[in-house]
Amino acid sequence: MIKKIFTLLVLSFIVSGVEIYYINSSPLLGYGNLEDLKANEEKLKYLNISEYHFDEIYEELYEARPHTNDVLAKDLYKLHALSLGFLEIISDGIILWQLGIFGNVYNLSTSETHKWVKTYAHYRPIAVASGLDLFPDIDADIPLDTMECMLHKEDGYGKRLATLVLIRWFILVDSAIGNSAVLFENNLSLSKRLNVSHRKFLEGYAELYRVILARLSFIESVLDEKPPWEGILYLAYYPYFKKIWIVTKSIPKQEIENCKIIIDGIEYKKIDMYPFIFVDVELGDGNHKLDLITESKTYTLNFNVDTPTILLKHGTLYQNGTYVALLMNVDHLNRSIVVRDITVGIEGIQKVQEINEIVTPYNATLVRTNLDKTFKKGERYTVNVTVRYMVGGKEKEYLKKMCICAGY
Amino acid sequence: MNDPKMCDKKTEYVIRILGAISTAIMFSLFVWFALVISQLPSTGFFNPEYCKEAHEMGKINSKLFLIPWLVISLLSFFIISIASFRIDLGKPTSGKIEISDVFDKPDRLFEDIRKEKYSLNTVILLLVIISVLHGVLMTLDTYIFIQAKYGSMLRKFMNTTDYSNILSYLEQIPLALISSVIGFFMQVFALSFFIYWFSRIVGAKIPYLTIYTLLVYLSLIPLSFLGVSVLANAVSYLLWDNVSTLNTLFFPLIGHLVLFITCMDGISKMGDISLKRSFLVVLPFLVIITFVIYLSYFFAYQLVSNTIECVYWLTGI
Repeated sequence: MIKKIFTLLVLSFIVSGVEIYYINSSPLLGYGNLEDLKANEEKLKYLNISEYHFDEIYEELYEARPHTNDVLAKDLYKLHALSLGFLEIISDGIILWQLGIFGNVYNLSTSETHKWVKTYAHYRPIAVASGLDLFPDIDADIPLDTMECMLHKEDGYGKRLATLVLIRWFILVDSAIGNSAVLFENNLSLSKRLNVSHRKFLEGYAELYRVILARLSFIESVLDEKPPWEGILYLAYYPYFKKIWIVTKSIPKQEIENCKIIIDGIEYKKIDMYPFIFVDVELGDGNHKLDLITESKTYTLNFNVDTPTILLKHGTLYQNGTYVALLMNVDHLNRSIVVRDITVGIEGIQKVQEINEIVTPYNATLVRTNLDKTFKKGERYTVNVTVRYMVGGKEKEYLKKMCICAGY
Repeated sequence: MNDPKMCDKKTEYVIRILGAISTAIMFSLFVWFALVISQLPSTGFFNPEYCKEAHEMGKINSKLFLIPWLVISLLSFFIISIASFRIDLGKPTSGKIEISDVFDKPDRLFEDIRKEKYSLNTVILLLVIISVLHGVLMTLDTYIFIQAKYGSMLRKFMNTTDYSNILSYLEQIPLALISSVIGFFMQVFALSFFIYWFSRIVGAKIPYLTIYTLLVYLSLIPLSFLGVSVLANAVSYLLWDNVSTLNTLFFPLIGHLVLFITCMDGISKMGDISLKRSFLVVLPFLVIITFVIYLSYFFAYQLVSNTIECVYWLTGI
């Protein structure tokens, strides 16, 4: 009996030893430096954040990293990291909300249509792009829904968490023309309210995004078990300020400081504010190519600059089949337009609605089409809209693809 | 009956009633478990994307679920009660069985039990000892396993210490012991009942208490597997600050597989039937153990990652 039990014990030791050797021979979960996960409190003070959250928790999370082959410990660690990721997003979202950038930065009232449309047309970026192989639409009606349509199934969950949430924020802020105000307006009430210079405010803002990106990238690498995605996370061109704003992700600071920015083959001067890069440039309509050349790698991003005469925003799809959207005349030559008709295509159905309405410069009109079809509440539909209009005696077409969640 | 104290009328009634109740409860739990498991694939529980269509979870019809369970449970209770009183308990005589025979000379063990050379009191005492040891070892194993896998996180995020952890675990030992003893008694009663009737079906006439005794002695096999696993885990935790998942979750279950394979041999020899027939007797239990091994694998290696995906689907990221 003793001999048999001893044999079992030896067998059990061998099993344990082999498995623990297998576990310990694998790397630790997660990529990144501990120091990057901590915030520079000094810089954040300019945003009126005296103490940034979770510094100690990230330190503990980093120290408790399990090995990638330790399945049970790894999965529980991932669950923990995931919950921390959600907490991070919520907490940072609250900070940004409190800063006021999601809201009406220019204190505009939608009842003052002319002023509202004109300001929107001036301050909105006319080109946005991302190295994530996404096609963000700055005029997205509901940014969250638009992002839903951009999801790539093959992307890891960590990558989605660490990239899509942030792009949603950028688009959400840009669609409310908040970014141009935060990044370029010196006399903005935001920095005035905080009683700091715009430069200091911007340093704090960049530091906030540096920490968010570093932390979410660490969580991304934990969840996806590979290095975080690195590259140009977001690019926006603001014609009013003649500036390009670039948000980089997981490219080391040293490399960004020594990098070159080449647009359509011409090198431009840049201003670094890690993880942001600002480039002074004036671009015309059409396709452009930006190269961010570091010592080790070149990150290329193609983007399209388009200065349209009209814009379609706030598209809503009702359960009873009615599609409503706001059509704005944003012609920079101050010409009136005649909207002929609107064609709405959804799930193989195409409906043409005659409008024949004149829209004066920087004004808007509501267009409404009944699609003779009912929609399921909460379901997402891809809507293709074509607007035929006359401007300067010429007939033109405006095309827009939207992803709308049916409601009401 | 050489020793009237061992199996007099009163003892016989107690065994039959306790056996019937235990078997009915165990069978009822088994039916409930089987119903739950049978419904899970339709909800996509085993599919990593099962939360993609969260509303699909509503496919479980709780009313339909409850009614067959109640019907089967009540019906089985009556059938088991009647069957319990038709059981041939056997006539244990006093005698001594060497515990080492379980490992070294199983044929002599089968022969002694077949000739009913055992004392019922000794068998019950052995069962109590086995169940207590099982409870203690399981509690220790769980403690070591949690400490090894999640200890660093527990200590860091919940500000607990090794000392406070072990104290809270020690507090759980009495409860673990009570549930282990009751569970073991019920399990052996139910297993003996089913093996008794399955043996009859294949043509072996082995008394109930003989099977009961056989199962109690053979329970030493999974207990030794568990003990060895706990010892290896303790040493491994002290040496490497980690334990083997295979050793913790699957090694003790292999002990149960060995138990039923040995039991098959025992039934064949004690009931004078072929191994093929005795294989049919233990086949349902081998299937259950195999399924439990799969479930352990699922819960250890799949469930948490499925939960992570589920969180994603539900949050819409």
